[in-house]
Amino acid sequence: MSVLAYLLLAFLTIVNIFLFLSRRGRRRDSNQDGDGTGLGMSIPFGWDPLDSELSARIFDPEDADFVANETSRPNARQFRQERTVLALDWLRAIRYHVNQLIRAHLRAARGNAGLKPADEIRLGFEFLLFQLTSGILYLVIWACGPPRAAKLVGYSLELAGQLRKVTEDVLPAGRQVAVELMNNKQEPRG
Amino acid sequence: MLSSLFWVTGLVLESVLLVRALLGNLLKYYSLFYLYLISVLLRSASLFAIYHLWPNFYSPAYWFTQFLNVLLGCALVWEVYKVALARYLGAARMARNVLAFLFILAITRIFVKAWNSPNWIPGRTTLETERDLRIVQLALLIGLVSLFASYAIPLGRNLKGIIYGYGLFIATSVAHLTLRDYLGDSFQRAWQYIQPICYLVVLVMWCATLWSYAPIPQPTNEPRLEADYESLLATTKSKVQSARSYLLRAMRP
Repeated sequence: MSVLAYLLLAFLTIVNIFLFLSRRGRRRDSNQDGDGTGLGMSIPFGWDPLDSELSARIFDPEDADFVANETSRPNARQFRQERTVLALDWLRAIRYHVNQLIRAHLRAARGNAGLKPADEIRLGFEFLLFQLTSGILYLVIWACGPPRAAKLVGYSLELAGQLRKVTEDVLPAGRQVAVELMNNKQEPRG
Repeated sequence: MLSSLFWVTGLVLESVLLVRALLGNLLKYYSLFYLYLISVLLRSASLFAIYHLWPNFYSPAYWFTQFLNVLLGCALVWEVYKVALARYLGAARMARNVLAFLFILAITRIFVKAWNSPNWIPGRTTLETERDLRIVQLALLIGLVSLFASYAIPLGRNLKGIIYGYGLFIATSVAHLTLRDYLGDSFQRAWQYIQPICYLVVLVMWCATLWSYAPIPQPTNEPRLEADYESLLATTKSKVQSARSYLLRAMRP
């Protein structure tokens, strides 16, 4: 019986590996250079102010408040749901653009003899940070809806700003103390 | 009876692979892979004879030749690196660093283990020693494949076959050697059949992908080879940072 169980487990593992490999192969085939340049320079990376305005509008509570005041509760709920879907689409679009940018960078860098592994790893961390930020935002928008998510982001940024200010206020004092300590050490002992 | 059938089928498939390599002139492109395959064929054939003629010598002969195979497996991983990244100097430089890091990490693990257990080298059991060496190979292969994936290195049918086949073989070996330690004889009875089947799957995979020579596809338009790496990096970095700040700015009430 145990022999049969192990055989079944091994068979399932092999089938899984094959499925994974075939899916990966198909995905990579579809990821070939879209524009043929390998750089993906068609990506609109100069963030359009109109886009900024539109995206800011998605998160603005004004529209949601207006709909909530003027229409019935089911309509307001439907509006909130549609705004959430829109916000998530917007976030997905940005992630897609950044992914394309990184892919284009890797394709350009792979043949470059001047590549510096440490810098590539640092860039990898930047990308990871972006993915982390956007992933958290995705969850927050999905869970709370765009206006509340925006409030939360505003609050977090404000808090981060205050923390930075506090750190900046503390640091010079710290340096001063260090300088004083060093000066004391250099003074001849009487 | 069944295990002898697996054994003979393996020998036949290995011979077919070598004949196709000679006919298709594949030895020129993947010399270390075929050296590995020749050693496996010779080993299987001689072990088959020893098993039936001098069964008492089978176990020492098996373990002695097994370590030679593991070392040749390392050479195979080296060949994958050399062939796949021959045209991609940047990715090759990255791979050297990542592989060196992984190698040092894995070897350190083995030495720390050996240091803590005075009976370890040449091994509490030969099984454990082989497993550790296989884990080193697996770590290197996974690191290499991750790099190929992230830098979108085109591999070609032959190289893909070698990587996937050998990857599957090492993965099943590590799984076997680990589970054998934990589960004991009941698992070994099942494994007598699972391992040869896995190996036959690998050989069939190699036969399909290495039937004839398939050159590694060249990118149609190699992007900005001459471009300055520093400026490329600075541009990408600033764009990723600006995307992140744009996200937060757009959401700010």
